[in-house]
Amino acid sequence: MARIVPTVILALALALPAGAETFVKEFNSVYGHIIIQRRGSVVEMFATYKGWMARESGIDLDNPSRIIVPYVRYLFAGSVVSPNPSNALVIGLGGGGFNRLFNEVYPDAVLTSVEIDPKVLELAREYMGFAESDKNIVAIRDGRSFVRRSDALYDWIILDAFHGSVVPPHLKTREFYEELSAHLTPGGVVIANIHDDSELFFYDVATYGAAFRDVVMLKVPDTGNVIVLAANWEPGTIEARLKAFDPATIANETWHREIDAARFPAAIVLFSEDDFQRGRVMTDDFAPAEYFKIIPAAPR
Amino acid sequence: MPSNFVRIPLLYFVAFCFGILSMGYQQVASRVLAPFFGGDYIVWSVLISTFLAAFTLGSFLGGWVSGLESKRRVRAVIVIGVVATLSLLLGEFGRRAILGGLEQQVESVILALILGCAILFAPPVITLSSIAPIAIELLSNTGVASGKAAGRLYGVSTVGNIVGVFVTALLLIPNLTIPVILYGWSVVAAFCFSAFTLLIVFLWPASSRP
Repeated sequence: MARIVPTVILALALALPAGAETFVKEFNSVYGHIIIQRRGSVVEMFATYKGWMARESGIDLDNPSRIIVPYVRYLFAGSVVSPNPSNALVIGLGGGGFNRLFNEVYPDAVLTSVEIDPKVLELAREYMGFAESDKNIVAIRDGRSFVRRSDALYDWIILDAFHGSVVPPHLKTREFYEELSAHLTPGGVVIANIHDDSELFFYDVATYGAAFRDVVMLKVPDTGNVIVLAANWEPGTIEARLKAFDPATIANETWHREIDAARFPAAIVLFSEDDFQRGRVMTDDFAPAEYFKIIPAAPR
Repeated sequence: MPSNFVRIPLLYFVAFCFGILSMGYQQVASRVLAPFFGGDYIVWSVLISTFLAAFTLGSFLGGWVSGLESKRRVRAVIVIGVVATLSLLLGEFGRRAILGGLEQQVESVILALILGCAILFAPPVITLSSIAPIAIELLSNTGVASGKAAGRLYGVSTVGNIVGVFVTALLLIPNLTIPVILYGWSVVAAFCFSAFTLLIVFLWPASSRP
């Protein structure tokens, strides 16, 4: 890792266009190694993980509500299945790319972000133009600990907490999802960013299926990202809402500029019975997330 | 006098098994804490400190027991073994109530962590780690110089530590639940303490100092 990462950083620096405001800066936090890269008006945050750089977040400083990281677009499938959120929770701040679009699309909604690493918040403020407000609140704490101590109910709970490329195991268990479920409003939905590049994906499938009655997964094209939509509604409700969505029900122009809801039904991941049998349900007593993350997914 | 050819390898084997148990348990402990406190560097700092403190107390305890008269030493090892086994079992039965209560009732995360680690993990680790000084005393009674005896025992025990970490991380945690692992730990600990007691009784019958 020590050899590869500096090489990647050097390659990034050489690839940057001359003239525009460009830089690559490295930072150490107690939780890891963070890289901030600026190319013109676009600033991206990376975390180093096993010798390569995982893009955590991106922002266009000239147009902060523009989506830079593709999977963020699919997090807004929440707008289709649980419209007009008034209170939302996101676990994992990164550079706050999701926050900019959310705050612009839902100006009256309160968005609380929980981030464990204070350095991430500091860098988001300093380099990515992130600013807190009474509608954009940040708590520095472990996400699960925050949820356990909270009495609030949320319309959206977004899970996007990564350590490098791995979600901490205690944020991937059935018990945790049940704790989240207890913090959802009746119309609320959990929206999670997971990866399908390892055998861990099938453990995720089993665990979400065990914790929620209604689960749909959306594959983000040309990436390893899969967005999970999960709620305790009648099975089939989420899929029906995705397929029946009428874009005219959302008036916000920025939303229409950034989100193409017509793609959502086509992105629904179809599972066979074998897929459901490949992984075990992860619990607080059985959470080998890191182990199965390093085993590449065999073909389905 | 029993043959050193038999009893010394058996002593090394028992020390090796205790090494597996003590450090492998740290991996399990991190999983026990995670649902309540996460798994960040603060958790690991408190966990490592707890284990080191327990190793320290265990070393003093073992050092004291190693100097006891033969029968008292056997009785002490039996008591230590029972405490180790019961505290491992108590860890499984009481962990949710203890950690959940601390997480909810104690505002300071670090204080809650320290208390949780001290209650759940210190007793088994103190008892498991008390065996090394006693084993060194036994080995030195076979004619091995005390420095060599300490070096060899700690070396073998540390290899056990390494094996314990890898076996727990790569085999046990990916395949077994925490309750099964902790029950298994209790059974293996009971077996190791029994074996150690039998070693002292039958193969080191007059090894105590006057």
